[in-house]
Amino acid sequence: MAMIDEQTARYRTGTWTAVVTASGSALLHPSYAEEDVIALWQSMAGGSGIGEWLETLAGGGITGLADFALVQRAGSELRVLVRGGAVVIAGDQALRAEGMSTWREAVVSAAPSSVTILAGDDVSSADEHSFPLVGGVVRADALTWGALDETSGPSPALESQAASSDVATPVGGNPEPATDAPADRESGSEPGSDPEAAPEPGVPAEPEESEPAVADSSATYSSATDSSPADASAADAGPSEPGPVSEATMHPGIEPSPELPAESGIIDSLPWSVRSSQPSPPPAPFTAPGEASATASADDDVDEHTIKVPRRGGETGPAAPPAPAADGAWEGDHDGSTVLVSDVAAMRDATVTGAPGESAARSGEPATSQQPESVLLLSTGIRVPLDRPVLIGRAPESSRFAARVEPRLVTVPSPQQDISRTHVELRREGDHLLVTDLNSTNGTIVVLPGSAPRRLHAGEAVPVRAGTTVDLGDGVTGTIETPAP
Amino acid sequence: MQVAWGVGTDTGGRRAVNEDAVLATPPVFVVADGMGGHVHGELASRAVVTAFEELAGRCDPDREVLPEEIQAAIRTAQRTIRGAGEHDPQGRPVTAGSTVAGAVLTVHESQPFWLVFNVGDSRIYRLSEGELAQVSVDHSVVQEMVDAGALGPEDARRHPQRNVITRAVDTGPDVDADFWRLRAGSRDRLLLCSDGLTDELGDAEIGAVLREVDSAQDAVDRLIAAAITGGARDNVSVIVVDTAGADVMATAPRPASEGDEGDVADTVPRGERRTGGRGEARWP
Repeated sequence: MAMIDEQTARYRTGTWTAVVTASGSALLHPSYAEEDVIALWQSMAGGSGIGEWLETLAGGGITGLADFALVQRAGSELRVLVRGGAVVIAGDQALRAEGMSTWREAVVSAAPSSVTILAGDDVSSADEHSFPLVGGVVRADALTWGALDETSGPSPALESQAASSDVATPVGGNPEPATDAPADRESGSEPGSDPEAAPEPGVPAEPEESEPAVADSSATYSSATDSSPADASAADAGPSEPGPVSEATMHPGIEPSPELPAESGIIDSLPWSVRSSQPSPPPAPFTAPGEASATASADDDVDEHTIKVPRRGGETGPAAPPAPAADGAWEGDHDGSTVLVSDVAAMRDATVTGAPGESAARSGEPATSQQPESVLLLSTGIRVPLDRPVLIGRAPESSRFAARVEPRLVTVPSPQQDISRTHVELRREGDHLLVTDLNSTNGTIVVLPGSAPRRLHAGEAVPVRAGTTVDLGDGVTGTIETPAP
Repeated sequence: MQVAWGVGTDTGGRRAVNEDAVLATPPVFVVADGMGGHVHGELASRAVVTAFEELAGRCDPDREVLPEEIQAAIRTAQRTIRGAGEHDPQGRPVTAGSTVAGAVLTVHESQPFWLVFNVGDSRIYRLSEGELAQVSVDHSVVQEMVDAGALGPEDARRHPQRNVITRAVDTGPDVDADFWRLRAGSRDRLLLCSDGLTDELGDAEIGAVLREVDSAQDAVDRLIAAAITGGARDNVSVIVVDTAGADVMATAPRPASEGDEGDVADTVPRGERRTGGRGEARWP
C-alpha cells in the first residue's frame, strides 16, 4: 500500500464517481453510465490531454451532458474543467460553473498546495472521513489531494465565493441547484460559527473580482424566471457592474476577457476546442472578433426577458461530415452517411457564425463536382431531378430548411389516400443518395436492384443507387436513374 | 384566397415598455421580440418590422416570394441595427437584437403556400383540422436540451434558461432563418406569437382558444387577456391569420367597414398598453 503523502488523493464516499489517475482526477455526476466512466478512465490513464477527457464525456453532445469536474496536472499547472454544480477548489480559489451553459475552464498557473473537488456546494462539509486512493474509480462526492491540513474543509474561497454570488439563482442544466447557497452564505457571513468554514484571515478574496460576472449573468437569467425582486436587482446590477463578464465564461468559444485579473493566478475561460483531430487543444482563441462583441451584450440584457447566448459552431453537437470542421465543429463520432434530423439542425446552427460559403456544405446541397445528377422517374411520368432534397406525397410540405436548400415538393395523386401528405424524402448526402420514409401511414417499399423488396422503417434513411425502385403505394412508384456520363 | 387576421401586442403586467413589434400587411405577417434593453430592443424589433414592411410593399400576388427574399429582409434589419451604432456608457458597442417569427402567403408551384420562418424563440403554430401544432423550432438553449432528450417539453416552459436564445436578428454575424413551406389550407389558422404568450399559456390553452373563437381578432384578444391574467411577465404579441376560400366572411363576423384601417398595414407601435388591428384581404 502506498504511503499517504501529499500526492495521494483522499475521497469521501458518496454517490458521484471519482476517477483518480497519475495525470489527474475527475468527479462525475451519478448519471454518467459505467461505460462513460470506463472510457474516461482509459483516456486519463492513457495519458491523453484534458480535451480528450472531455470528449469522452461530451462526445454525444452538450445539452444533455451531466455535471463533471476534471482536473489535469500539466507540469506546474492545473487545468480545470467544471460543469454544472461541481466545484473545484484549488488553493484558495473556488472554480464553479454556475450560470454557464457549457462549462467553466481554467488554468491554475502555479500548482496550489491543495486541490479539492466537490460534487456541489452542499458537500462543503468535506471532512476527515475520507480514505486514501492512489488511483482508481470510486463512488465519492468529495476528492482532495495536497496538504492534508488545508483540505479537510471548505476553503475560505469557497465561502467568499458563495457570498459573492448571492444573487445567483440556480441555472438550468444543473442538477445540484444552488438553492443550498443560503447555507453557504450564512456560514460565510458568520465566520467562526462553523469551525470548518472559518475563513483564514488575510486570504485575499480574489475570485470576487471575476465572480460577480457569474452572479451577474445568473441575475440575468433570474430576471427571466419570474420574481420581480430579482428582476429589479438584476436591472440595478447590470449597468453599474458591467464587469468582465461571464459571457466570457458561458461559452468555450469566447475569448478570455482582457479585463480578467491576471494576478489572480487563474486564467479564466480559455477557449477549449473539443475535437478529435487535436488531442491536446492549444488554448488559442478561435472566436471571431465579431462574435466577441456580440457577446459583450449578454450582460447588458440584464433587464431583458429574452437574451441571446452566442454560439459557436461546434457546440451544438456533432457535425456531419459535410459541415466543414475548420471552425472546430465536432467531428469525432459520425460515420459519414447517417445524419439524424437533430444533427441537421446542429449543422445549421453550426453555420450561424461561419463564413457565408459554409452554408453550401449543408445537408442536401448537391455535390457540384463528379457524377451526373440522378433523377427519379415517377410512374406518373414526371422526371424529378435529385439535385436538391425532394419531398414526395399527396400534399407535401417542407420542414425546417435553410434558404439555400429549399426542398423540391412533388405532389403525386393518391385516390385511395394511401400515400401520406409528405410521404418520403430523397436527398443526397455526400456520395450517397438516401431515401427516408417520413413516418408515412402505409410505409415505403424500396427495391434495390437484385435485392428483395424492403419496407422502410419510419425515419430510417437507406442509401440507394441507380435502378432502385421506390414504391409509395396507390400505384405510385419511382425509379432512380443516373444518366450516362 | 381570402385572408382574415387579427393582431395585438401588449406591454404585459410587469414591464415598462413594449419592445415587441408586429406587422400585418398581407401577404406578410411578422412578430418581432426586441432585446438589448429599452431603446435598443425597440430599435431592433422596429428594424425587423420595417424591413418586412418593405418586403410586403414589393410583393406581387403572381410572383413567388422566395426564402432568399426573407433572408435579405433579415440582413437589411441587421444592417439597420448595426448602423445605429449604439454605445453604452462605457463606450462599448451595444448589441441590440430581435427575434422574428413570420409567415408570408405566396404562390409556390402554382399553389398557395405559407412560407414560414423564424429566428429566436418567437413562434408559429398552425391549427389544422382542430389540431394545434407548433411549426417553428425555437433557436434556444432549452430547445436544444429538448432535442437532446434532456428535457421534456413541459419542463422546458419552466426552465430558468428558457429565454436564452441562440440566434437573433442582431448586431452579430449574419443570421440564417429556418423555413417551412406549408400549404395554405382552406380552413387553417396560423398563430404567430412572442414568448410572452407561450411563457404563460400551454399549447392546450392556446389550442382551446383558437378552436373556440371564430374571429381572428377575438382570438387574439382572448389570448392576450389570458396571458396577462396569467401574469404576463413579458411583452405579449399575437397575430392570428385565417386563410379560407369563400367562407372567410363567416369566420370573420366583423365587417371590414368597422375598421377603416382594416386593409392597411397594422404596424403597432411599441409602448401602447393594448393595441390591435384586424383586416381582411384577398391574396393573391
